[in-house]
Amino acid sequence: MSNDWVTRQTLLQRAKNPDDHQAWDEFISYYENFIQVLIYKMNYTGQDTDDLTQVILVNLWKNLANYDKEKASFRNWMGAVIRNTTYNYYRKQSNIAKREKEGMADFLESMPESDLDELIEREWKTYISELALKKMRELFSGKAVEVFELSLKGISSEEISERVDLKKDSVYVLKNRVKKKFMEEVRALVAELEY
Amino acid sequence: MGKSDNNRSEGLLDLFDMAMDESDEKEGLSPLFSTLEASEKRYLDPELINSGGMKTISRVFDAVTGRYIAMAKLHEGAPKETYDPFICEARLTGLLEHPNIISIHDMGIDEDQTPFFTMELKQGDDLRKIISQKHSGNLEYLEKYPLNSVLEIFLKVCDAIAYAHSKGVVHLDIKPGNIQVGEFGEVQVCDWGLGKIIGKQDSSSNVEMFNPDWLNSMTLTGEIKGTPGYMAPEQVKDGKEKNETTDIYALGCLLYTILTNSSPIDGGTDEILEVTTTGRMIPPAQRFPKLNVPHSLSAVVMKAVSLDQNERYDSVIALRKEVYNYLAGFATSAENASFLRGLTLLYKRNKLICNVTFILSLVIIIGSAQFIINLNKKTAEAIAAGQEADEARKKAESLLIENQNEQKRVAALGIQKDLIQKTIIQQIDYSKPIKSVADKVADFENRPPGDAQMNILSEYYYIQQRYREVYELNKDREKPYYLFKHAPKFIDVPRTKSGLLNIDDFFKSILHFNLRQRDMLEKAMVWDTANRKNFQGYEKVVKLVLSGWNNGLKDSTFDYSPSTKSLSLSGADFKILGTEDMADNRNSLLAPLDLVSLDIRNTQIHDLSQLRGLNNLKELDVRHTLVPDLEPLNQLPAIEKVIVLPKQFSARQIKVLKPSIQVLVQD
Repeated sequence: MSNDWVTRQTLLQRAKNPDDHQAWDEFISYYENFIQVLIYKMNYTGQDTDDLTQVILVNLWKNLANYDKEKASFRNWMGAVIRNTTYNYYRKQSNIAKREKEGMADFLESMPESDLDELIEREWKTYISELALKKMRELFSGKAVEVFELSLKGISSEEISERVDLKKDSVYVLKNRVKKKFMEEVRALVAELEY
Repeated sequence: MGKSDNNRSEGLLDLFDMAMDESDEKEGLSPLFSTLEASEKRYLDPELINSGGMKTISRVFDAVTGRYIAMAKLHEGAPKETYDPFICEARLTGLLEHPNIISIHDMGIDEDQTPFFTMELKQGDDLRKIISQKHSGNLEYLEKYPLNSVLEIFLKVCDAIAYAHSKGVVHLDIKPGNIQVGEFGEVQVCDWGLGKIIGKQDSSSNVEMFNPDWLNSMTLTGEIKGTPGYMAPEQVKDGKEKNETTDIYALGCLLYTILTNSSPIDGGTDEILEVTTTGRMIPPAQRFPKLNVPHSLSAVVMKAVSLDQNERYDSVIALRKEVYNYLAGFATSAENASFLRGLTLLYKRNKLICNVTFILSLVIIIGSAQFIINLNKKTAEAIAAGQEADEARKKAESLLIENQNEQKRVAALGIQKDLIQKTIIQQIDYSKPIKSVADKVADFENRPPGDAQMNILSEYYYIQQRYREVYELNKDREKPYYLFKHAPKFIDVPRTKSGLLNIDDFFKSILHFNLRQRDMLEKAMVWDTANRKNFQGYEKVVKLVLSGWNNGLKDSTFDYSPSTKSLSLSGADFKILGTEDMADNRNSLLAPLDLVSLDIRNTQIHDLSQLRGLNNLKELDVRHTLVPDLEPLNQLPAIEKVIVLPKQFSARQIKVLKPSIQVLVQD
């Protein structure tokens, strides 16, 4: 078991290998949704969202081999790949359906690179957190996750204890239990999905 | 909705960052400060429970461990200079790991950027409350905390302070208020705020943490350096070293308070400090003569609070030993115990053994005394018995002498030796009394005359109611036979057809036999019965003969019913109904009555063979008698029924009876 853990490669390490199809499938499952959300956030209104997503995924896949941890953080690197791929894709497509893409052109041109990077990073974090939260729903039963989610919305423990009809002590305990596990999960996902 | 979602994603992002930060912290990059800040969320719902000179103690909920604990904080707005001494107190306390020293859980910086530390929260009272409740006469406390149990608390305080001293820490503020007593006897010394590291200690552990320079500088702040009344003189006056003996002084004051339920020194602060510095504390036993303060402990207190530090106990352990000795019942060294005191204490600490020994000794003494008394009594009895025996022997001797005299007399009369033998003189065949007596008379008539011959002949003439012959035989004798003087009365009285005296006259005539001659009585009756035809009124003869053989029948009843021929005897005097083991064909003395029914209840009659001759007896009641054997009843020809008590005889004893005899079992 511990040996497995030691020799185990992260998804991205495995994804570097072009012949590892299972890794590719996993890569797709994790990143596809994120990229689609991102495209939506970038006001891309084209009919071929799926196409763009595929192009970005393939670009990420191809460039993984060239990623150098020393030069940039994974999130910044990923942001750059997504941004550039989207620009290029947009330029290629602009002649064909310029009007359609007007919304996105405005968005991309009006936004500085740093802001875009920030957006991507923010979405990435949110995406990972949601994944972790989903896992929490599987892990915990009863009111634990409900308490945790209510606390995320900034609701006071007193109010939570009233809403879910639990003692205040229990609210603290449940909240902290889920929170602890949640943070562990976040760290695990980051370790897996970031290089 | 939108706002809520925003909040939610903000919360998620915060958590994401936090998760990543913590992972970074593991790598040692994040400052300690950030984790201390997080404690804001760990301790919730503070509730003030105590407030002291420098700090407040609150009860808080520890969300991490899920329990209530105590949190100490500086007073609000406390100056920054007090932060370090505060942290120092926590560190100092934290270093002392002992069951009787409050333990520190955690410390840190609160959200308001002030330091705090947490420690265990004890349910219970502090010693000050216990003592004040005892002082005001609260029965519950007086019962729950008698002197000895508070002294045991004191021992635990000594343990804690002795441990601290071994680690080079002095408390310098020992007082009842700083001692927590739990519900179940847990004792904890709190508030090490004035605690101080003393430099000379060995560096066995935690050298860096115990660096005296570092810690001692922290305690220079606060103005109050102790509690008046418990403070040692060296704490009041600067210039002398505060060391272990300073704590010993305070422990002495604490002991004082425990013994008297009052502060060691009364009065205002100035007065107290004056008494402290001059060492004029009044010994507890002297100040409270009515409290019965143990003198030994009063002496211990006064030694501990000596003005001169060198005169106090050398160590807390030495002080503890004194109190322990008191509790265990040994003399304390401070009281310079006398032999008697030592003996008293020996008794006190071995009460059970002493009491048992005492009781056993008492039992042995009483037992021995009883034994000796009994022995004396027995000896006296033995002597009395001896005397009795002696008397009996003398009596026997006198009888023997008498007998010997008789023998001499007989011998002098020239009678052959065998003639004086009782059997030969007296023996007759009771089944043939007429012939047998006649033979005796003939025998003795033919013997050469002499006193014995004439006496014996006189007796038999008398039995044959030949009173004239008795008279004739004795009238010329120098020493006539004793019956001679009675004989003339009966010479001329009317006689029955058979030539016998009337029953009344016969009764009178045999009255003159003396008791030594009771065999003569029996012979006279048997001879008379053999000749007589009408026995009406004969019962008084029978009664007379019986009384001759049964102690005179003083306390007995003889109840005869002629119509039913039934006789009822009762009384302890009745023992014999037939004489001389029924030898020589004797019949029962009751035989002349020709009884049909006999009741011998409540007599001491034991031998039923003495009923021989009761040839018409049909019914016998043997209840409450000493009869051991029913078998002789088989010899009674007419017997039909015997009345016995339940369990008086075994089945086997009853079985020996003839089948014709009915055994009636009655209560």
